[in-house]
Amino acid sequence: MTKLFTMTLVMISVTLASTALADDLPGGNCLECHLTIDDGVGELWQDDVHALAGIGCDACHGGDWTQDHSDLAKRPGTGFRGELSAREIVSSCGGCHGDVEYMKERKPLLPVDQLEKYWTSEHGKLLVKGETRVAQCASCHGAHGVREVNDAKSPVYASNVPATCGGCHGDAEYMSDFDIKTTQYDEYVQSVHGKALLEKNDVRGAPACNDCHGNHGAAPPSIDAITNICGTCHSYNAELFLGSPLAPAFKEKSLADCVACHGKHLIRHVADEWEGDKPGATCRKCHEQGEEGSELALYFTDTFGSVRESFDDIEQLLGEAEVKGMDVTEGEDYVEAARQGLMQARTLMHSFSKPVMEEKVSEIAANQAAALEVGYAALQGLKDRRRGLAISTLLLLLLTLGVAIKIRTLPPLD
Amino acid sequence: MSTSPENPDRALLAWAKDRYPIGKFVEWAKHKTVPVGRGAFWYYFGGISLFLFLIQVGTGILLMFYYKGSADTAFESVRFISAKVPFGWLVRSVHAWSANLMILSVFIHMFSVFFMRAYRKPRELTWISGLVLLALLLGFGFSGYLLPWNELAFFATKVGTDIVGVIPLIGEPIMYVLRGGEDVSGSTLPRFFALHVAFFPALLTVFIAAHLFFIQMQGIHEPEAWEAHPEQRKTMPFFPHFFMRELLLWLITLNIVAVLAVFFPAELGIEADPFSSAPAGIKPEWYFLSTFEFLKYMPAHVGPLEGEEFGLLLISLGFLLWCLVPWIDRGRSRRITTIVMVTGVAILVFLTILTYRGFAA
Amino acid sequence: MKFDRRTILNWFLGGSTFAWMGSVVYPVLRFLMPPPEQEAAVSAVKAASLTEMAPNSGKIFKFGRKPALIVRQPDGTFRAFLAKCTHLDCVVQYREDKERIWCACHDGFYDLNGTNVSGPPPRPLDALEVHMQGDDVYVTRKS
Repeated sequence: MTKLFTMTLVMISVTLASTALADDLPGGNCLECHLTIDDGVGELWQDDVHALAGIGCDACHGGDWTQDHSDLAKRPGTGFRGELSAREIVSSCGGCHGDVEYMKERKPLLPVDQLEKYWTSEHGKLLVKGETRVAQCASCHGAHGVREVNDAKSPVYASNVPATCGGCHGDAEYMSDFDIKTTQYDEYVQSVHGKALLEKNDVRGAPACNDCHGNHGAAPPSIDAITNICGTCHSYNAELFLGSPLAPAFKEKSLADCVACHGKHLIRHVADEWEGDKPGATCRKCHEQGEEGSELALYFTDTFGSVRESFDDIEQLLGEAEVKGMDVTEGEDYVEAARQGLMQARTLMHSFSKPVMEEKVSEIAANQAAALEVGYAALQGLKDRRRGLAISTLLLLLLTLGVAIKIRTLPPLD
Repeated sequence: MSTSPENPDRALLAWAKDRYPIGKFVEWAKHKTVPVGRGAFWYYFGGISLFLFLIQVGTGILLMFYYKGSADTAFESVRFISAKVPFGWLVRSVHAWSANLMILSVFIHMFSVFFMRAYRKPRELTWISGLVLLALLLGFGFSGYLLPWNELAFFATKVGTDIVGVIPLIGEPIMYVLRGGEDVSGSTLPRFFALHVAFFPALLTVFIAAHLFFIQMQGIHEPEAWEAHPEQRKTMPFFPHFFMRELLLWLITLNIVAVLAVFFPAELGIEADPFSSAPAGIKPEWYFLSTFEFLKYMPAHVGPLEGEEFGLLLISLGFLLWCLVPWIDRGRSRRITTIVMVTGVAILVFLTILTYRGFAA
Repeated sequence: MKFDRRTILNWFLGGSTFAWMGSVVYPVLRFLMPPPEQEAAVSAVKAASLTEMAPNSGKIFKFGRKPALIVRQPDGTFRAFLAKCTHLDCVVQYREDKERIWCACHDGFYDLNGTNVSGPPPRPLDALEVHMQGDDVYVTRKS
């Protein structure tokens, strides 16, 4: 009797103790060891969204978390799994996150198509074939310290995505068995998108890898899809391009639209290789010198070049006037309008039509001319002021002379 | 009573004399004299200060035709005056330069009066009214500086009103009233404008009238040397001798102001933004620099007082003593006179050095 | 009149005084005459008139030194905003086909309350107040 009573007492107190501990630690007894040993799991788990939702270690790893000794917790029959394999990870995460009914009760706004998309991705397809070195859920989201996507510390937060993808795709040694380049990350970081995201922190506006390649269904877009992908943000450029004579030509030659000229990852501002019709120039890739296409390329080059030169002239002129004390804010307004026009012209280029461009360029030229006018008027104004001063000083000198003589004619003091 | 051999007055004068008792005034004007001698050059500075003030009034009134005194519109209206209104740049720059020259001239005038010891009996009230005028002019300068509503002016006003707040007991309420609130804001600008174009001009008119009235009644102070050496006594009639010379100096002053306005036009600056942080190197106008620098040298605490409070106390005491100079140096003790004069030189040197350091900082 | 030195001197004095005063009075008089280009009003601007804008249309106008957009909604009422996109400062425009405000640079969209609803813009557009005066539409800063 006493033995049964003692055992019951012990079991109750252990259970109570465990539940008490479980209230403090969202991992149950597992954390008693895993917080002390050096695997980092315990620390990470404190910030995990699943832990904070009350999900325990056993949800993925099985085992008996009520036991405070690892041999008992991990004994056969408890369904314990140690470190999960790649396939196991995908089915473990997907088991809940792909279950509509399950997720509806917990986080109804989260999508539930990640698993389905994953199987369409290059990573998923390779995993099915048995390649375990591909990315699975834990590769990007982490296993134990999973944070929300809009948490800046999450590896899948917008500005962290390039480094996360680049962790594998930029590692030449890791990727040596796969038939893909590993230059994407380095190229992206130097691109306008990379700089916008990583240097200027334009988290809402600048694309990371997933914006073009997709998240879970990660795959390079097909050639036909390029215009749509880039056109998600650059819709006007895409619209103009599709209406231009180049679109059918590119389709015929199976050229990848935007990518054919702008590149994929190393997308940069206009540089010398865009200009003219010499070998090495972008348009020269298809157009021979003397062809209509090359003539248009030359026209664009010359036009933009002269617009840029005018901006330099204007800056110098207005700067000179300002330093000398004249107000040139009106000129600055014209410069601003001209710069807006230039931005619009660069977009309009994608229609590859000279008349369209000529109209915009004459608008830019008008604004630039007005800015120059302001500058010249200011410098002229300076001259006018000094001339006016000279005249009035001269008159004053005459008057001074007169007064001085008059003083001399006054009766002397005595 | 028209012109005739018995009455040699010009027609206009005759017309006036027929109606108003100005005969005595005309007689007085004819006999008004000004001492001639080595120090006579300094006598002109009172008149030059007055002339520069008249320029301020004239250009100030002109500016009011276009200036819009609210936080949204002030900066833009000043830009409009400088850029679009014909000769607006001239009126504005003359106003800015004349302000500075006027204060400089007033300081020269004050120190020359001091070193000539013209504050002594019977001219004590002239001295006091002059100091009130100095204070009012500094108020003019301070209030006017904010009106273009640019970044430098905004923050200089903030620092300046901060210092007012340091005065014990009454400082904070005064600062609150000056600012129109806790901070310098869009509510401060209309107050400063009212001070600048109405309040200070009204007070100034009264005190200038008093100052000139005292001078006219008592005549210009004569050099001390004449007491011992009456043979050196030499005067010139105010009309036309002194007047013509003064007029000439006035014209030259006006031209100097015009040259400064053309070659060193007033800056527009950046529009004030109450929510932006202060730029580096905020300084008040040069005539406040010595006070500004002086307060910087105060230790954090002096006894129960904060360093800045102590500094202000010292400055106030100094100013008070300066006001009371006519009663300290009555000319009866040579030793006191020497001490006072030496102190005056020391103060002048001190102010100059502090002002220079304020610039250099 | 006797042409002695005194008279000549007086005439010279008077003439040069007059001339010099002219060089002072002329700028003052010119200053007082209001310049043809009235001040770029920053407080209130007439943006459009009822007759010139059809419902479901937009127009860019100058508000002080800044570009602004006035939209006549399909129901006939007016909305006005500062036209600088909050993403990268391009000038926005009204899209009749979408009944929204659009930025051509990176496909940003704002609804007719100025709220950023799609694309990169991080913040809504700065709204301005619209007042009707007869047939004229006036735009002022938000009070």
